[in-house]
Amino acid sequence: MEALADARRVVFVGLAKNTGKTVAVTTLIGELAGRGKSLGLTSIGRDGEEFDAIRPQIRKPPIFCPAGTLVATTQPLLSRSQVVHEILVDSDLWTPLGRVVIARLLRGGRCEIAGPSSSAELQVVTEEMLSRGVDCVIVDGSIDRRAASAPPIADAVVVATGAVLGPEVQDVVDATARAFGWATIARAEDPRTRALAMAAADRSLLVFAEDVIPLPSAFALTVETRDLLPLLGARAGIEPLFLIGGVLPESLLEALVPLGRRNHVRLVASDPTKVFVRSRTVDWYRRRGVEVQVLQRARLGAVTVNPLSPPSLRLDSRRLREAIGERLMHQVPVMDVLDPSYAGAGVPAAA
Amino acid sequence: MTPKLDLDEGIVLACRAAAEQISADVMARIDDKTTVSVERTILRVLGLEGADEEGVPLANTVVDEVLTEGGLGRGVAFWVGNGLLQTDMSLESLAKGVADGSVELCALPVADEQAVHDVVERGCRERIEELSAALSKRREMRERLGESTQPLSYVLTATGNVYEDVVHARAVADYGGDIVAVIRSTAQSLLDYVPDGPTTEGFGGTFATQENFRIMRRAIDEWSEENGRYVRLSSFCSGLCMPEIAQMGVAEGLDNMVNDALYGILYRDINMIRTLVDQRLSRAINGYFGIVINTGEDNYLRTADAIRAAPSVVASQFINFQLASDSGVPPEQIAVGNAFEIHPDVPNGFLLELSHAQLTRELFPHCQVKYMPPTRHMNGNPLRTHACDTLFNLITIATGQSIQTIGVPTEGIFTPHIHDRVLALENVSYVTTAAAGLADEIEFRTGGFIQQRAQEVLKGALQILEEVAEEGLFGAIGEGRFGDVSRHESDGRGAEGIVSKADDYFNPLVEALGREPLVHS
Amino acid sequence: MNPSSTPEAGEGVRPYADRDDGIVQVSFTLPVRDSRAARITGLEIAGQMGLSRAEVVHSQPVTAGYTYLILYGSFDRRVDVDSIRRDDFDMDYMDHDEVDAFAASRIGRPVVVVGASTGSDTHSVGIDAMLNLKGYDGHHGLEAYEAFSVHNLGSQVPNAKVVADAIAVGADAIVVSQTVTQQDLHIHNLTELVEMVEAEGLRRRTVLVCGGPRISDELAKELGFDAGFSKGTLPNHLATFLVSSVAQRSATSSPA
Repeated sequence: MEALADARRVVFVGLAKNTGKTVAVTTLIGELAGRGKSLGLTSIGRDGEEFDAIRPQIRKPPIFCPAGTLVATTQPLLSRSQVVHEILVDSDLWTPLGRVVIARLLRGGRCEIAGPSSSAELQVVTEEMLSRGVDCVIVDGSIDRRAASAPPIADAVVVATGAVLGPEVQDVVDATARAFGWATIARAEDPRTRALAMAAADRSLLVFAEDVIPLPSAFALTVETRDLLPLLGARAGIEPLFLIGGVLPESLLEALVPLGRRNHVRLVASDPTKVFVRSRTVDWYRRRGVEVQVLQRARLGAVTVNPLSPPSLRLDSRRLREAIGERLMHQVPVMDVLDPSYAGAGVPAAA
Repeated sequence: MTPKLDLDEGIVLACRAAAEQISADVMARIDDKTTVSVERTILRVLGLEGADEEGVPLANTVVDEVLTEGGLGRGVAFWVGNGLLQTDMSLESLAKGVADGSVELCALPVADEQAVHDVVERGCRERIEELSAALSKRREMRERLGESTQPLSYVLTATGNVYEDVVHARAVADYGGDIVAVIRSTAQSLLDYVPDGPTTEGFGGTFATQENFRIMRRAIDEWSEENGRYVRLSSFCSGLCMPEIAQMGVAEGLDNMVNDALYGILYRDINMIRTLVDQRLSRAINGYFGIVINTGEDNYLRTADAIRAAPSVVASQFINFQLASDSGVPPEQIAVGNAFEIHPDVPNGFLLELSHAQLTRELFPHCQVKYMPPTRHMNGNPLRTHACDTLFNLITIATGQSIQTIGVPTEGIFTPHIHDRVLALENVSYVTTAAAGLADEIEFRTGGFIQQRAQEVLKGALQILEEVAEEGLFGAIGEGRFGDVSRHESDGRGAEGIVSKADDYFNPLVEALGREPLVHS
Repeated sequence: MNPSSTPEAGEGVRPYADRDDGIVQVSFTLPVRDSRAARITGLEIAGQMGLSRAEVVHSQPVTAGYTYLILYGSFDRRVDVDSIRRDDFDMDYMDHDEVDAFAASRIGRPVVVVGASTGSDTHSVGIDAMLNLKGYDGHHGLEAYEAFSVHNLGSQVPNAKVVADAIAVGADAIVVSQTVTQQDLHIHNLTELVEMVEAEGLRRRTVLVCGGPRISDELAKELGFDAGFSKGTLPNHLATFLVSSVAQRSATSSPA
């Protein structure tokens, strides 16, 4: 619960449509505003809730924003919302829905939010809003775009999940755990690894105890088991450590599995958004002796659940929350903002 | 069937001779190799099913262990046989022991070689007898219920969910479909293991798993009994697990299998040695147990121009036929392939197609020739596709094809919906009824367009075959002779799963399959 | 007064069959036994789709418990074409020679393109039609242009390999195609590519384009691509977009 209290940048990610992400965003806005915090609001890319490419104007559910909120959205959506506002920044960032502007809402009202579509652009917009004095920027993230939850952009990530992911509680728990396996990737703690990785910056290195071997660019992207054998074979007994400068693709982990059976292998990427694991989980590889760590962890701030799946399936909210909490080893709060038991996201009152 | 193309018998014989030489050369070059998939197949034949809690099949765990320990050159059968003798465990517990690390298969004391061979050979023989008995029952059912007259319509379903596939298969059968083939999930061919259990999620198709085979087989058998007509089930022996899928198909009573020698090399970039070693065992299994195999020459026409590539299709039919024969598949179980893929705007395209289709039929009179519908030039207009399919159906009946994959109106858009197949089957039924006696009524004008075209394609095929015989199949693939795709011997996926056989290599399955089948289909 | 029933400008349009009549054909299968109930349900669905005067013209069983229906009805509302038109709606495409001339004068070197059909997608027809010499429907692919240096990686190429090759050859543009769309597989594949390109720090200097039968320009942009190309695209359409984008980028990224 502490996670959302001090976070200046919170990204919401929905694992599928109908997971109640918009409701969760609205709830957090209400709670933060109720405690006197000033807010910025934007979104990235496709939101996964509704996609209608032909008439994108009907797609984003309008979100209620209190007076004084800064929003980063497109000019046409802002005009259509008819909320009284002043434009602070006219960016040169284009989206399919028009040009992104940053505006201050002079009155409260419902507004459709469509921010930039790349994470680099999102970072620019977020920094801009923070520099204009808001306490917290909320990003309505998209279904797949993990880039939006990169540590440079997010202090905390809130994941929205729900009954739509499976007919039984266990299915939902499994699907949820799979979808944010990145959140469980551990931080590389030993100072030497961190120092080496910092010095390497974007380059990749292979480290055997005292030996540091630079790897060719794009090594991690293309390497196969047969290339790894000669590289690792000669050093039986010493744990190899890979420091990966850019993308750490699943193919590299797959290639290491036959070797990991005999000799534990460690890989360190800069943050979880650089780790691309889809067909298995990071845990699966760890159990096979191939361990992934990061320099900077992504913080999973909370999980929200929607026990309802249209048209009629309803799972037991409490059982669902407990099962997900257990899978996450109770390290993050799991809540259902529409359940009668819900008592707020634990955001402390403003000092 | 009366020959209609006035083909030069000398050229046909020369084509066969060249194909025999090509195949003999391939067999000699792969003879000293085995693969992880071949070795896993032995374990599966011996009855090892199932996977660990993370979905890794036990067969993979055991073979990988022996591979890592450097013992695979002797054959997994030796190590497992030895393990069975030394530990007195069942095969399944032994495999689980390997999986959890409690059994070090290659570190056990080694028993007398002959004793090891005996125990595995006995297991293998018993299992083959069991499978043969099940096969006899199936053949009996096929004869009792009866099948449609040829051409048999071959219909693809692909929902991703095996339980939905059952609904689609019933719709196919209701409208006269004769063979149901469940398309596999995209990329299954690149998995070096066979997924386990029933699956309800796939991409562009449904995973081929033993449990999925079982579910489909049961549903189709039910329909066949209810309606008094036998409907066949088919799947895909291709990719990195060819022989394992063949074994699963036999165990679950499939009737047909797509089982091409070159497809994986050309279109999935699988290493050619790996594919050819795997296809040999998969075809030996299919051949022995009476399964009809479909080769895939038709696919070249999706990447190369259909008119220009026609000789390479025929050349490949000869090669595929010979490789299958040399692996132990009898001619009546070899369904060489061809397709209707000439652009609809080409003048006299229909005559060219007629000529090509008749040519395949005449060159392989004893084979169950399989004819494929237009796909490459089909667009988003289902009515245009439906019109082209009508012409395709007409050629099918006019040239006496044995099996036709039906053309579906929404071919050019997405994986067809349930009613699209119904519309397609109605079209087939309309044409085959209306033109039932056509093949017997037509002959082609001597020296006319159709005869000349067929003779020209055959000559082109001979030229290719002779050149391929000269440089070897591997070199020819490297030059992009098939489907305009070029692959090289040292490249491709799955190469790490090839192992050279040691002098004491032991494979009881290959020996058993080399004997006379216990049942003839 | 317009002698035909074509609506006046600003009045909006609706489907045209014999005249300005709004007539639409729809067909679908219902999981209901072939029966009056199935047909009435079909009419109700047409009504909820906004069709009036709907009629079932054909119905037949698909298999036990499923019925196929064909219906006609009219769509009585109108859509104003001008209200949905945007600036980039219809691009004016250059032909082959114009693209080469434009690239020679504005870029001065070949535009390096890496193309592939990505992920587990086995279809190479789309990317080949755009890139290979042979091209599509009599229009040569980008390999035939002087303006481009093309690296076509083929089908079933992992995103990681696309990114690695883009780095290796210094690609100005990445062009990928996606055909299989079941379970939103294309969305996952395309998103992963964008994320990898971003994670490697290449996004700013690389034009990212995707295409396929079910991909729209809007979808592509939502996913973080620069453009998306759907059915009916010819190689010169793609070529025009690529040379224009690269020229624009080199203009804006040159030192101010």
